[in-house]
Amino acid sequence: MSGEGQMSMDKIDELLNSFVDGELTPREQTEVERLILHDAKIAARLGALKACKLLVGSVPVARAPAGMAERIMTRIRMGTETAEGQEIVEIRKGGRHLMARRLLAAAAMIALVAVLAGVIYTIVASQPGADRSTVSETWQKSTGKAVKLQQIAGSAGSTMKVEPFEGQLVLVTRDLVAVDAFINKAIETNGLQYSVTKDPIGGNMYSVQCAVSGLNTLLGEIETVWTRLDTATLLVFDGKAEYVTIEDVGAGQVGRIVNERSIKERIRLAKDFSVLNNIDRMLPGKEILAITTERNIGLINIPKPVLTSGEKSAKAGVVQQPGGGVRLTIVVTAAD
Amino acid sequence: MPGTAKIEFDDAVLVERCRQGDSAAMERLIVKYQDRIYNVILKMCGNRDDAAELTQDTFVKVIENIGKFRQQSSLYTWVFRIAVNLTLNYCQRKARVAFGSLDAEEVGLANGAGAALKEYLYDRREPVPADVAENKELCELVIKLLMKLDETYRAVIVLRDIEGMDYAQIAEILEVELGTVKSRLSRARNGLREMLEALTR
Repeated sequence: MSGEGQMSMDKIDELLNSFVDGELTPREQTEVERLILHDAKIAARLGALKACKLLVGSVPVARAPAGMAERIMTRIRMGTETAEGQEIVEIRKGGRHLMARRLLAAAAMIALVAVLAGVIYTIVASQPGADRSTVSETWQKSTGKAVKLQQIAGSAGSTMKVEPFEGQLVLVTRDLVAVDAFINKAIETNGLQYSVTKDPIGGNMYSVQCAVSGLNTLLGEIETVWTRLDTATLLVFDGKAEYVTIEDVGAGQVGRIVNERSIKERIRLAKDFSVLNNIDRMLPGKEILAITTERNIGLINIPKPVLTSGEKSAKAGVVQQPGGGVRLTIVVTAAD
Repeated sequence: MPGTAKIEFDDAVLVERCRQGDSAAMERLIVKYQDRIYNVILKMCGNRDDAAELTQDTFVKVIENIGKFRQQSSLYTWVFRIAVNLTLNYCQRKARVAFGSLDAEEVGLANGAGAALKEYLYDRREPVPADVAENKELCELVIKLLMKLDETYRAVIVLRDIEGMDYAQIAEILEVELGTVKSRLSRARNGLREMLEALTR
């Protein structure tokens, strides 16, 4: 028989089997019935298939052995017990896993605290040793009010070269008129060299040129205006057209940066403050800055000129540093 | 009809209770299907002890996995799928049966069975199932011949001719196309017929 013939026979066999099993469509069934009527060979084949089917179908049905269900149930119960045992092990494993996760979380927290402590320490420790040793803090009664005074006495006598500072302080406020007037008056009162230009969007831009000590004085006076600001941003230039931005900068931080002797140290400290302020913004209670401002009050606060008497001698108390001038543009602008 | 296309209400309730860990429902489910499962497994594997063991394995698997049963098919089909798969795996592992030469001695064809077989095959009258079933020797012969078939063919013929499933159910249980069921069934019956005819020569 040819392959084609065999295929044809296979197809016929399939049809005959389907016929026997009642799986044909009415049309196919009619077709097969016609085939059977006209072909004795196919009819014989159908008979053989029917016999075969009947033979297999006639084999007695075996019943499951007695007690099968009980044995299965026993196995299921035993399996459950084993599973429960495994579950206990899993719970123990889970407990260990949980413990490990807690330890990891604790380790991560410690690491975070360590990093923050490192940042804070670098900020705190960055106060130049010479300056720190010469900072004299005295508390004097002035008009019945305790005033903290600091003097960077070493500044004048220091022979270490101080690199010039260049930056921009952007103060955004909804109370533009009052803040602008306050800043203007503070600059003039302290006798600082400055020029003023109008800010296109409202407000003024004060380009101040002075010594570090002059800026300290100015910052000391305008510190109170921070409560009326929406934002304060300091841009610290590195002298190579690059700068570091510190958002939410405080007056104390500005003072700290400016009082660094080298541009490199200022940039490093600016970056630290930038990170610190960013982290602090994400924390609800401002814990980071609270730590730095409370525990290091003498270091983070703006160095102010010494008042040697009750008279207004702020200007006289300003100790001009050799070299290391400050070029700071203070932009006082309106909030949207 | 042994099986239904959709899950019966009774089965749905049983499944739900089994999922909740109801031992009585599990036992009821086992009792409901154990004979049919055992019968099919026995006809596929040919050994009572192994069939009993495989039946137990089937129901343990059914209960263990009842939570995964999505009720997209009938419980009947799902239980049989597990049983058939376990049995096919067992058969393939054991490789107890293979196609090969067939003679009356190997199959253990007794004289009485031989005569009955000849009468059955060549009697032009329509055979009566009850008469065939009463002929114990002939039935044993058929079971032995079934064991000579390849397990995939055996599975199809057992599910169709012994369990009485339709082609669609067989396809679902074996996870094959309907055409595959048809061709396997055709080959299985042809193989069986050839073996029977060979025994009568």
